[in-house]
This record gives sequence, C-alpha cells and structure tokens, in this order.
Amino acid sequence: MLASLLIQTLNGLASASLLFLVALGLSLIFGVTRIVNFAHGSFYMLGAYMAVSINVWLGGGILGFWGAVAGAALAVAAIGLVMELTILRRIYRAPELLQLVATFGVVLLIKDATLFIWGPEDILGARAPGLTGSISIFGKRLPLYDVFLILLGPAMLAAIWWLLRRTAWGLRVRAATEDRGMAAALGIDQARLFTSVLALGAGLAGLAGALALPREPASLGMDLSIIADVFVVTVVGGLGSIPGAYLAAVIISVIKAWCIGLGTVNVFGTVVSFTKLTLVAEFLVLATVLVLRPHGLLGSEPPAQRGAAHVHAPLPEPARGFWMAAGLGLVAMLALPLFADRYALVLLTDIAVFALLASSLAILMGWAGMASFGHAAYFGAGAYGAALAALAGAPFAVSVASGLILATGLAALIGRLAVRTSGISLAMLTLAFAQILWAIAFQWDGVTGGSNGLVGVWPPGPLASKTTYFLFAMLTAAVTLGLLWRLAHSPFGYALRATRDNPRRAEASGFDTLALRWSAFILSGAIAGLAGAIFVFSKGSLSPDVLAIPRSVDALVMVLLGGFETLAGPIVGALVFTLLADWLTRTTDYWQAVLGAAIITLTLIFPHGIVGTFERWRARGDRQ
Amino acid sequence: MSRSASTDAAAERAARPLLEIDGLSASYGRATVVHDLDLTVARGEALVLLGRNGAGKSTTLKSVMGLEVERRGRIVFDGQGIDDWPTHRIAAAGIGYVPEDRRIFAGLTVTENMAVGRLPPRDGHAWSEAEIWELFPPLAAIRERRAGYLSGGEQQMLAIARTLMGNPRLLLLDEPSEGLAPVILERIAEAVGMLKSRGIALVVSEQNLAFVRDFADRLLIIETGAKRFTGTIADLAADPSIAERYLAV
Repeated sequence: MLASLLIQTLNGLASASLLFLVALGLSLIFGVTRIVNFAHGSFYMLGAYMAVSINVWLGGGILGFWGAVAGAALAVAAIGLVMELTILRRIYRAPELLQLVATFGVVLLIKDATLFIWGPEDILGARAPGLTGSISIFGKRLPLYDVFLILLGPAMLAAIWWLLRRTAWGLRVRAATEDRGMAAALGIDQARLFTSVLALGAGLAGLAGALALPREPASLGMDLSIIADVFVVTVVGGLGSIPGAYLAAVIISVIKAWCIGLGTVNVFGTVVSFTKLTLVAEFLVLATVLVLRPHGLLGSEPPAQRGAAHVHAPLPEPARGFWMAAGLGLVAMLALPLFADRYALVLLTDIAVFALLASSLAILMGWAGMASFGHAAYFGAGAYGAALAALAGAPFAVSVASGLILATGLAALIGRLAVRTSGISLAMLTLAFAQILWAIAFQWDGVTGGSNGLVGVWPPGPLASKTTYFLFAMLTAAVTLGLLWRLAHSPFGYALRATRDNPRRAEASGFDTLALRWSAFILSGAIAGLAGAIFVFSKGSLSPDVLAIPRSVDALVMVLLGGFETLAGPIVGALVFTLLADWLTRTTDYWQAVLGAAIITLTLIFPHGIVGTFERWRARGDRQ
Repeated sequence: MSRSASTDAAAERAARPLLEIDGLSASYGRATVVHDLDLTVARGEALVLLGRNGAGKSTTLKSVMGLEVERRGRIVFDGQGIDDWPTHRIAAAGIGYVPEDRRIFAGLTVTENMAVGRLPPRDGHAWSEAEIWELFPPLAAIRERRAGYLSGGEQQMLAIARTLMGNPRLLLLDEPSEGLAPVILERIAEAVGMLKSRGIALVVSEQNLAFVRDFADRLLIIETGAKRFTGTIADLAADPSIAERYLAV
C-alpha cells in the first residue's frame, strides 16, 4: 500500500514537470506582456505532433528522439515568434479580454491546421531510447523515463532562475514584468523583449509536448485539456510566480496520481471510485487555495494596470424612443415566422437563446467588470437541469425552472469563490471550473449519459411546433432583456458599476463590494441557465459540448463582437456570430480555422466591439 | 565641403534649443488634459513647471516620453522630431525621465535597478556606479537591498540614479519633492543642482518653490493644461498676484 502510494507520488512528480514547463512559459509571457496566451496549450499539442514527424524524418533512434525534442521546441518557438509579430504586437493596448479572445482565435487556427496536416487519429510517439527500462522501488517498478522527468522539473526551475537572476536579458524581463512602461522609459525596447519572451515561452510548451509523447499519444484534444490544467496551476501557484507554478503543478499532479492509484476502494462497505474523484479533488484544491489565499500560494496582489486603456465608458441612458424602437423591433421579430422556413426558425430561436447568453455575460463583464471564461458552465447546467427533469417526467415549466435553479445554485457556489479574485485570475478560474464540470458531465455516464449526452427532450404540445417555440423563446428573451435594461439604470446597476470602476472607493462609500459582485455573478449565471434550458428544448438533445470551452468562448466572442459597453451590443453580437457560424459550418470542413481567422481579424479591427467602435467613431465625429 | 556642411549642421543644431514643444495637446481617453502648449528648453537650462495638482504638469512630461498618454503636436529634441517615436527610442536619444511616483522596480536590488537603466556612453561619458555613490552617498550602503524596502527618500535617489545610468542630456523630474522630509529634500535639491552644473538640462515639475529656488533658470506656470506665466523667480516675486492666482491652495 505504502509502496504503491510512493510510486504514485513519483508518477505525479513526473507529470508535474511537464505541466510546470507549460505553465512556466505561460507565466513568463503573462509577466511581461500581460497577455494570457490561450494558445499555449496549442503550442504543447504542436510540440507533440512535430516531434512525431521530426523523429520519423530523422530515422528514429537516439538521434531521432532527442533531435525531435529539440527540433519541436525550436519549431514551436518560431511559431510563437510569428504569433507575436503578427497578432499580439497589435493588441498589447487592447482590453485584456480581447487579447484572450484573439489568442483563442489562434487556438482554432492551430487545431484545424493540425487536423489538416496530421489527420484526426491519435498518433503514438516513440519511447525514449536509453530510458525504456525501469527501476525497482520496494518491489514496484518506476519507468526510467519518469525518473528523467522528475529531475527535469527542478532542473528547469534552476535554469530559469539563473536566466532571470544572472543575465542582462533576465534583468530586463524582471523589470518589464514589474512595470513595462517604466522599463521603456529607461530605453528598453519592449517589442524585442516581448518577441524573445514569446519565443522562449512557446518553445517551453513545445518542449513539454515533445517530452510528453512517450507517456501519451499526440491527439487533437491535448490543447484544451492541458490549458485548463495550466490555468489551474497558474491560479493556485499565484499568477506570475514561477516557484508557485512548480509547487502547484506538484500538488495537483500528485493528488491526481493518488486518486488514480487508489482506484476503486471499499470504504466502510461503500464502493468509492477515486479515479472518478480526480476532478473533484482538483476542484477542492482550487477552492481551498482560493479561500485561504486569493492570490495563490506564492502570489501577491497583481500590480495595477497603468494607462488609459481600461477606462469604462459610462453606460448610456436609453435614448429617447429606445423603448419604442425596442418594441417595434420585437414586433418585427415576432412577425418573422410568417416569412421564415423551418430552418430559419431554428436559427432564429438560436439567436434568441444566444442573445440571452451573451447578455448574461455582458452584464458580468460590462457592469461588474468580471470576465467569466467559463460561462458555458451555467448555460450547460441550465440545459442539463432542464433535460434531466424533463426525462424524469416533470412538466415543461418545472423542467425549465429546474435548469434555472441548477444554474443559479452553481453560479452561487462558483461565484462565491470567483468573486474573491479579479481580472485575469478570475477568467482563468472560471474557465477551470467550467472545464471540471465538462469533465464530470463527460464521465458520469449513469446520470448525464456521458459523451453520448441525453436525447428526447422535446417541449409539450402547444410549444412543439418550431413556430410557437420560436415565439416562446423570443418573448422570454425580450422580457428578460427588458428587465435587465431596467436594472442597468437602477441603484443596483449603479452600485455595481461603481464597484467595477474603483472597488476600494466603492467599499469606502459603504458598498459591500463582494456581495454586489456575488449577486451579479448569480444573476448572470441564472440568465445563462435560462438560455440553456430554452436551448435544450429547441434542440431535443444535448451533449457535454454545451459545457465545453469552445461554447464559453463563443459567448465571449459574441459579447466582444457587439461590445459590452452598450445594452444592444450583445444582441448584435449574438446575431452576427450565429449567422456567421451557421454559414461557415455549411460552407467548409475547416470552419474552425475560418472562425479563428475571423475572430483574430475582428479583434484587430474592432478593439471595442462593433457597436462600441461605431459609437466611438460617432463620438469622434461629434467632437470635430 | 561636406565636412563644413556637417559642421554647419552641427553648429545649427547647437544653436537651437535642446527641446522644443509646439502646440502639444495630450489626453487620456476622452479627457484632454493639456491644451496647445508651447515650451522650449535651452541646452543646460533648468526649466521648472509650476502648477497645482491636476494642472497638466505630469502629463506634459509623459507626453515628451510618449508614455501612457495620447498626444498631438510637435516635439523636437536636439533637432529631431520625436513625437512619433516609441518611448524606448526617446530614452535612447538622451531624455531621462524620473516619474512622480518613482516607479522603482521593487523586486530588484538597488544595483539591479541601476543596471536596467544603463545605456551606451553619450558625448564620451557614461555614469559609473562610483559617480552615483558620490552623488547619493546613502545609496552606496544599501546597494544590495531590494528596492521595495527603501525609504521614500532613498527611492527618489534611486529613481534619479537609475535614469542617470542612461547618460541623459535632458532630465525630466516629475515632482521630486513630493512626500519627502525636509532634510532629504535639501540633499536631493543639492544633487539636482550638481547635475545642472554638469551640463544636464532639466525640466522639473514642482509645487514646492523652495525646492527649486537654487537651480531654476526659468519658471513656467501651467493651469488647466495651458501656459499662464513664464519668467524667472524674481519676476514671480515681483508680482504676488500671479502666485496667488495659480499656485495658492
């Protein structure tokens, strides 16, 4: 028992090294550029695929394996460099969420490029020549390759420490990490520094991907699964703390290894499957650390951003005739079924659902200044809650209410932890929680139907036709949005925005900022849940995809497309995005790549969203 | 021929002011803070910007550095238009900036902070650590200490020292006296006077007239982002109504 626990610990340490390499690159890049690079998991995936091909090209053997490791690291470093020069360089001054979304565009591009080059099948890599044996510890076997990886983590930690503490380049990185504006004022060329840091960070991720090959095959899912883990590690370790990242990687990997090692255990007559508890364990670690140390194990409060890039424009009062225009718009929408066919009706229902989802996210981002990168969690909870109730025989209204309640409860739970953080930590945290939920839905066959999902969730008689269901969805969305807009200019809305603009001053003015942020989180989650519940009855079925990262990012893209500085923004965003995505999926197999390219292009052209950018242009026109 | 042309050009450059600002407007987002400001600084001259909090002094200095502010207008340094240059290039051209809140790198030691500011020699001279210790003796004793643990006065000295390592011809000092004890102030004023005597031109933004008395050549009063008065300390003393109107709290 003890021996196997020891072996599992060592196994966890080996995994921790790889996780640390990826998190290290992410931390370095975030430190100087303040950009959380979503594509970092994609660099890891590319490293694995490239190592496979380079190894084959070099003819295998010792030269092939280690040549492939070095070659993959260098090639991915070059890709990181190109990404910095072509995309990141143009968005350093954009709001941080836009930066995250732009790098998610890169995720989509790389995923489809990988699919195009290497195909959809998993590819097994070669084992490391010379390290294929194992050593014996208390009668248990530990692969030599694991020993190599265990040593690699601390070695890399020491190497990076030396690089940062003992070289002129490291000094510049540390200075720019603390205050990049001041570093520039002292003559440091940020552009060159950022390019080099991007290359190094990407190279580390590529190296980790190549080194992961003897343990896991190269697959198209590697990118998002590692990035969620890396986000957890970064938040638990403390954003920007490199020793913290190693510590967190060790804690999380070892706990996971223990859970897997314990397997199914009989505890006092109850069979407990610890393998399935790995996700719960991760969740608990994350929750515990955040309650005890909101800035992570070794993190400190992040330095305040300088410059004018993050000033929120005041939310405009509804213009004269706004409610009249909104009413007319609604009437026009409700008249649409007269002209639309079945396909168009489904699409229109989607637009109503996503307008709700995007608006729910927009209140969180625009009013409360909190960006949830895992809003699919509440959308999905609403969908699963409603579907499970409906399949258990509950009437329609009760099913929708169940979805709403599940989503609200979940938002209350996650929100309680999440509102303690802010900015980019909050974004990473919400994504990590959503990913954990996704994994639970994916694995819990008995309840959620696992990867097959749930089928046969249809609305009752009067709502069964596409037309009536569309009318129901549109009316529900319109009423909810109308109430939200009223709320925007209520004392609650003002208090929230005060909290967003200056939390300390709001607190000094007597607002309970944590409670305000928490209520905004719960409200947002509830509306997302409502959207999810309506969504599932329109589709008739659901799969864990409703909870997955791409769904969360879709919602974000809608909000950013439309802009969250206005009330109509998210609706415009949902409309444009839904139509665009529908057209793309019907037009090309590589729609993810096209969507990725479109996201990148749009974020470069409309750094304030479509509606926000036009308003800015109009305001500029007014001034001249 | 070409030699005399280049000496002519050099002579012409030397005759022009070191810094010329022409029609500068600066804004943060929608708020314009500086309106159509003109000013010049001669080689080796010490110009003091006076004005209340929020008058636009700091923004003027940040505009020269191209730092964290949107600016319009012409800025010429040493004969070159620098208003569209990135910040690091402006620093490399010989303008040193010491910000109001000092912005020292708290996690770096004193000598590391200074190393970050090091640029190649200019006009045949590069500030050495030894010269810095001579200028600010208290820094020598704490050279290996993390800058985050320094007192306010020590941080101010370090901020100036760090910028000097870039061998500037023009030093922009933003409210160097803010929040410092009188005894420290005296020492820093003395050091600034010494820098001026070494031929470094200065633009010092201040609210404390006593601090700049010994080295100021010319005063310029800014109020709500526009120039209200220029002259010497004697000129200001001759007309108490000016100080009353623009400087009194």
